[in-house]
Amino acid sequence: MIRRLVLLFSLLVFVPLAAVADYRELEALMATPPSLSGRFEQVKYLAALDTEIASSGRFAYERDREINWQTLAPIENMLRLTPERITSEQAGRVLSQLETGNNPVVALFSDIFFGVMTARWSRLAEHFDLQTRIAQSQWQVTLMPKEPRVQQVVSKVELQGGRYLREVVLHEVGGDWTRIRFYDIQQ
Amino acid sequence: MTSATTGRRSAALLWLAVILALCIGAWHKGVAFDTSVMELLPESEQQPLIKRATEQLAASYTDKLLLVISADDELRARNAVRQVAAGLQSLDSIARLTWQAPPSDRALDELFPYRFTLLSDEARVRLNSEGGAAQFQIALQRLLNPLSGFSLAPLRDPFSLYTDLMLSLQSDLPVSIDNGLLRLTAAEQPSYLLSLQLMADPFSLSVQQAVNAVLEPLVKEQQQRGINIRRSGLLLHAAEGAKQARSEMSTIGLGSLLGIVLLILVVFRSLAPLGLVLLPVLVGSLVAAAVTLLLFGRIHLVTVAFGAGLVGVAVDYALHFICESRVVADSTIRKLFAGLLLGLISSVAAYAGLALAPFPGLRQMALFSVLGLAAAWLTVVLWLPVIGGQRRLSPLPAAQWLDRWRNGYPRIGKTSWLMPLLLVLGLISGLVIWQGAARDDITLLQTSPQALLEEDRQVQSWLANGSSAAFLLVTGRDFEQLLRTEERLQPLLASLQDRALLQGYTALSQVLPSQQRQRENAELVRALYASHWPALASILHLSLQQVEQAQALMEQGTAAVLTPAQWRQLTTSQPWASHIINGADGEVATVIRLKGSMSAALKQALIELAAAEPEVEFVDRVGDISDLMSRYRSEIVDWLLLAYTGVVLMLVLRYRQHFWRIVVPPLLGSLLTFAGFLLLNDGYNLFNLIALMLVLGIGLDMGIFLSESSDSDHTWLAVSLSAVSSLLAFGLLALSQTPVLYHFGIVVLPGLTLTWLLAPLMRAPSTGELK
Repeated sequence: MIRRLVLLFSLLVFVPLAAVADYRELEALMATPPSLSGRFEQVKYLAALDTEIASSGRFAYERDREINWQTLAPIENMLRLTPERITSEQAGRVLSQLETGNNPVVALFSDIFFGVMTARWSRLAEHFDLQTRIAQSQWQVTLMPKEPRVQQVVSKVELQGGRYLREVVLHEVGGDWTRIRFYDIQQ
Repeated sequence: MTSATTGRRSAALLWLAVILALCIGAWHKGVAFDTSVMELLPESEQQPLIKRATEQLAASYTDKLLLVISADDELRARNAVRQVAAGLQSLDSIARLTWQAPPSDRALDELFPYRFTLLSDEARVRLNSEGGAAQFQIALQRLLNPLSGFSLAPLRDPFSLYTDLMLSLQSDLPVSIDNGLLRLTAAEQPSYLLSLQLMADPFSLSVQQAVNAVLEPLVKEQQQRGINIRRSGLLLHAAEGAKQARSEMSTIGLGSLLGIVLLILVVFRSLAPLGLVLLPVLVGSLVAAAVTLLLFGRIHLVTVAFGAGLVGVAVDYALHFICESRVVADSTIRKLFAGLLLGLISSVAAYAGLALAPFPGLRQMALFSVLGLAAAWLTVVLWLPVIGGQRRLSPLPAAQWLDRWRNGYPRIGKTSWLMPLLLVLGLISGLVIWQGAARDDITLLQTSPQALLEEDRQVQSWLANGSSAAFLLVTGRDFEQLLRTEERLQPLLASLQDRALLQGYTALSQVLPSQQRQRENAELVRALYASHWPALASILHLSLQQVEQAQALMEQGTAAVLTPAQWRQLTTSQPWASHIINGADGEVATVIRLKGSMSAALKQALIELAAAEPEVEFVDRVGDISDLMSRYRSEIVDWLLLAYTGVVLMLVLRYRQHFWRIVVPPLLGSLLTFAGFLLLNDGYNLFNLIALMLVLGIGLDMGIFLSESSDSDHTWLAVSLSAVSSLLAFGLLALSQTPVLYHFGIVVLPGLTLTWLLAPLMRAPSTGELK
């Protein structure tokens, strides 16, 4: 906890000084393992209800191949993303399956999700303007959509981390936002 | 003498006045060329709604020009798109360019009020089982997803039915947006789409030239950099057709003219007859073009190309006059008149037969040919005696040479083995023809090069555009009935998709369900709320007031039925306009468009599907055209038989038992040629038969003139000259790249040659002037 505070403090100090860096520097800072797994805790704010819904679960990914996003509470649900499709499963039963190949919205959504969760900066740079702040081994990135179409899916993304991605905040047009924190990250 | 001369003079002057009047009239009206491939297609014989639907679907192809830019590398492809788009800006006044994605579709939210009545197919399936449990789970999952992809409306649409609707409306789109550009999802290489909406007539030569002047250098430039550009659009085919017609006019047309000039120089050793020979041709073509323009408003380039072939026959009349005037001192015309008239009548009959073809282009050709012949004939009869005043009575060496050659020829009356041989040949040919199969292939009407057709097909298949020539037409009293019929068809079409026969389809009822269907949907949504809303509300920690508010919003939403009239006001209806066909008298119909290619099995399935529904019709224009071609083919077979019968009767009247000397050469020539053609090709078609009619016409000319002049050697010379010039004019069409003309020429060439070679076999002993 103290370490974290120190980190936060160092961030505050270094932010004004740190230059806006290229995402290639980020890539140098971060580990890019072929697979990664861990726990997540998520808070979603629904503007229409002015309420927050908390959820948590596990995630696992294989770089460029698959992301498994398993919500364990308050309900059980598995979201499986591959470059080809997004599948939603519950207790092994497929609820819905969307193909990226025939639906541009699904393709864009999948692209952003893959890009953000696996920190593929070159991929994200196609859709977003990146503002990067690096202080020692810690980094903060803000993504602003380049196109209105991306804006419709996500209006702003804030990411921060060190060797791994630690926290993501996704802002949506309607005022909804989702904050996800990652724990127990294992290669 | 003087009164006869005066009469001749005034007739010649009158003819000059007529020619001038026609030419001035046509010039005044304006000269307009037509190069449309479509003009060569038959007009629809079907009911007006089908015709309208076909036209409406074709229009989307007619006035668009699509470019697909592909490269191995995304970045290079995108750069190329920007360069080409910049280059195409100069076409601003002719075509509107679209190469960037339109600003995001906020307009789609106009469907939000109808989220409970316009359900997606998937949501409908989920709502139909277990009271919609699956939809409830999906809604929960969307609430918990890090990203929803669509903004959530937990009170107005807690089960995210609108999200499902949007997802289904946007799926199966062949184009995705990539860096603001339009990317084709089906292409393997990174490929981007550019679309030009033409604001000018794609058939206009000046528009074609303007577009190609900009487009071709751009394409070349990119190709040198290893970037592939594929094109699709009617304009390209029209331009290609025009280019081909122009080039063939200047190669085949010019070649035939040069050949004829050379022939005359060799035979007459003077250039003077050339003027006399070419004058009727020139006048004939001019008058034909003028009258065609006056009657049709515009003249097709293929007509003109064919008209170049007219040269050959029109030359006949002048040749006979000149040859004959070398040996007969006076009143050449009077001596020749009967033969000339019979010749004209038989040729006109042969050409007029072209008008039987179902294609407007061929009808124009028929008119052009008949008019050209008649005008050339009148010119020979009225002008040549007046101008061709200077006579040199000296036999032509060529006539003597040809006659010697002919005398070495066997004769049917003198050589005993000849008759059986010819009979056997004729019988064998007859047998081959009897066995011969027809091939009525629509590709015969294609004038575009194979490479361009393939390029076009590739682009259209990436865009998942089915042929605009095959579709289902649904008719009904009103929209409601139409949409219900479509909804009955939907599961049947889906099963064809499952059997992988049909790639996909688009139907109006997919975006605008019938009111009956919408009320059913509303009922399903009410059931969903009844069984799952309390559970969802508790997960969302909603207050009682919020729960009731959502319930009230649902009651309100399920009452919102979208009527066709309201739907038409929405921007989302715009891309669907081509699916709605408005008949002349207030009838409505819709078109179900089919994606992918049309297999025989799919065609059969669609025919059966349409047969079971009285309000549904399967329209297959390609098949229709093939059917039409085969119908006209069999009609022309009848016409040929009729023509031979008529000719035989006419000849019997004048020549009694000698009629066969005239009719056998073209008949046997045709039989041998046709049998040979069938042995070398896998089927005959309409255009081969039309060629046989021409062989008959010219062959009759030959026989009639020879008989009328009692086989004189100068007539033989004139006949031979006209046979060679006809070969030069029509036979050269065998070199054409246009399938229609090629199939014509390939039969005329051997047919006429054989007729000419057979004619001397049939002659009676010569009693001509140089005996």
